[in-house]
Amino acid sequence: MKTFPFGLGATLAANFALLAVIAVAQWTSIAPLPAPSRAAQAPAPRAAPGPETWTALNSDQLFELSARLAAEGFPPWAVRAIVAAQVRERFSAQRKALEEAQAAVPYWRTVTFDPKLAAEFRALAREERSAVAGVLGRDPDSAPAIYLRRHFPGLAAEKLDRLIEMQERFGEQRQAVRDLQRGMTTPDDHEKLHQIDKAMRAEFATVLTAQELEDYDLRTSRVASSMRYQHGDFELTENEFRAVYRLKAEFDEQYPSWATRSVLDYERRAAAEKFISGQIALALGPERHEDYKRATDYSYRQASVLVARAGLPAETANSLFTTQREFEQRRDVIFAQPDSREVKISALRALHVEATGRLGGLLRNDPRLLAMYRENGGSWWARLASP
Amino acid sequence: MLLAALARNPALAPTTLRAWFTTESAMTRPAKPVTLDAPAPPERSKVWAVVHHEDSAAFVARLRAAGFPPGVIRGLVTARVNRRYDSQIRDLRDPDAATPFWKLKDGFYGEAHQRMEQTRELMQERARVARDLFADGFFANDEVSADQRRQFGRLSRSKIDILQRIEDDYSQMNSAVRAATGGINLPEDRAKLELLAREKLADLAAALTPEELADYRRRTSPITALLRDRSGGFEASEAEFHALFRVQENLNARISPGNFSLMDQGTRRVIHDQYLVELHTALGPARFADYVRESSDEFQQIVRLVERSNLPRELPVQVYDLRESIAIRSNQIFDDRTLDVQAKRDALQRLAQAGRQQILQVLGGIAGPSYLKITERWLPYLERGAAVSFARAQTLTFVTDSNRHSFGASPDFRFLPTPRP
Repeated sequence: MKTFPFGLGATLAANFALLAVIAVAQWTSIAPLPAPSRAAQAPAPRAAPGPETWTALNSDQLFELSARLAAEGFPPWAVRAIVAAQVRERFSAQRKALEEAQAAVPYWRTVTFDPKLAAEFRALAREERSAVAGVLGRDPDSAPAIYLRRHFPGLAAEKLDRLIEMQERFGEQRQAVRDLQRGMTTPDDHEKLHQIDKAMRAEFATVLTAQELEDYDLRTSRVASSMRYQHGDFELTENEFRAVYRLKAEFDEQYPSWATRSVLDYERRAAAEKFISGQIALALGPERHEDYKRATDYSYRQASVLVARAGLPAETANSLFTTQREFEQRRDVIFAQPDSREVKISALRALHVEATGRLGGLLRNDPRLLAMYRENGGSWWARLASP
Repeated sequence: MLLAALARNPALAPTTLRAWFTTESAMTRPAKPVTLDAPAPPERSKVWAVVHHEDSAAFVARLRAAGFPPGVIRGLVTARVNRRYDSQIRDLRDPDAATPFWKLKDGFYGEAHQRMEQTRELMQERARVARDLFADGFFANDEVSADQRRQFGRLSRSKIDILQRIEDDYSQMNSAVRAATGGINLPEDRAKLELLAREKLADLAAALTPEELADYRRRTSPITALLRDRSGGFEASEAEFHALFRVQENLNARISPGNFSLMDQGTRRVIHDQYLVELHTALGPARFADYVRESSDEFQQIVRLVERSNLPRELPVQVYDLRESIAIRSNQIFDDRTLDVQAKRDALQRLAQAGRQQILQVLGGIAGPSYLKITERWLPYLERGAAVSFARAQTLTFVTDSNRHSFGASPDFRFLPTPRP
């Protein structure tokens, strides 16, 4: 019994001694391992790819092709482009036959009017899209995906994915309507497209908060885009924009610009438009409303560009607009008189002469500038001469 | 124990001590792969790393060297080019996410117009880059595509390439002129564009024979594009097309771009009537009637409705003739001296109601109501005491290289006096 602890201790001591020897030998005699050189660790440059490279990558099975491409470092967009090219190649005979039928149509006739040919092209495009999607799924860089990522930069990825899926699904429904239009939109088409937009928005509302949805509308809706188009460089404040947007959105919901109008609808629409204008005036206040009316006037916007290009002082555009408004009101008074047509025409022509004098004063009495103004912002003045 | 381990595997020992633990057989045994001292075998570069190049032409060259077929190279490189240009185009077109919604800009004039022209230039540049990248015979099919045949006729591949370069160059110069206009066209802008048009014509004339030039100008003329878009199912023969082309040229000559929006109603009517007379003379009465019908927006909408409802193909003409008969009858009632105003009003209302019934009978329960929505622009006016005429209901269009200006396309009405309360 007493020998066991002694033996164990001796063994342990010997092991420790050997370890010490090894350690010393290691430190004193062996050079430090060379630092790994970049050259040694970097992948050896591949020889220029030979012509067999594609053969090795390619496969009749599109799934296998896409897997091989991914394994060889092709980014997703490149894999998709190559798979799409292969799909296109598979359908090339069908495409060629349709194009030959199309080539037979004389150049002065449209090919889209042939419903059979148009339907066959659409079917081919659908088959090609399905074939690619069947292998690679949805394109993460599709136009709707990029669009939504731009408009919702801070949105959680999962929410964004759901919106993208909705946008693409409703986009396909829109495309199905457009495919049947062949360049001619019926009132039913407008209505269908409108219903699709409404349905998409309703689904967006299940993902976005009320604030996110309103911000999306304020950035991208047809009403908001139309407002920006009309405003040009004129800038509303945030509260003004929201107020005007709400009024215009309500009006557009009731009287959409694309809807066919009966005689009665025209009258109701005109009355509603007048009411909305009054509401906008209340929302903006009198001074801002005057600025707003000027900025959204088509003639004023043309005249502003003309003034800038002619090197005239910027306030000339405002003066032209003020003159325009004054003479338009005086014209309306003439129209409202119970006089005969001849008397009214004579009064309007006299008004034209007076307006010409006033405009000349603003435009340096330069006939060239007057002629340019007549074509760009001065139609109200030209019409006084030819009522 | 440690000694036993080292003896079993001398490689675990430092090199200076290794020999102590290496037996003869171990020394003669082939060395196992060294795991501590020798470097790892180099990783093979992936194919993408080797073929990809930032320069598209070099990218194409590497793909070719790697045996990629033309269709795949074209698809891959086009996708890469599109990604680059699409991103720039989006920056011009789409609102910047960081800009508050009330500060976003849009519109046609000023800066917005410049952005439009820049977008157009980028799209043209993208097309040019793609053409240049795939100009090599490796990608041709000396075959000319169907679209190119329609644009270039029987011209050879080499002449097509020359013409495309000329078109690209002048398109770029035109864009630069238009970008500077800010959205309005002054006489000096028109003068510049006309000068460019003359110079382009001279360059084309140098590349083509007179016959080739005449054919190419007709094929690519904005008038041809307009006639193509408007003719619906007319299917003009070549002679009829040339006749329509001349009539449109005459219409263009009567309207100047600057005065188009300033023409009064009377002048427009005169121009419209001249156009109809010339059209009638050029086509003859029967084909004139066919052309007026086929080019009518309302007729084309009826055609679409009938197609979608899988109704007989002759129905659109039947419905169109019904419309014409209603219009003729409304004017007969209006001019009937045997009727007083109230009697005329009642007759017009009955005509409108009968017209609705007939439309529903002919087109059925689905296409019928859809067409009635389209007739809202004229049928309810009969109920309000008006006679309708579609004599000038064609859209007249004045066309330039860059724009179309249209008027017309509305029915004419004559109203009975409003009844006194």
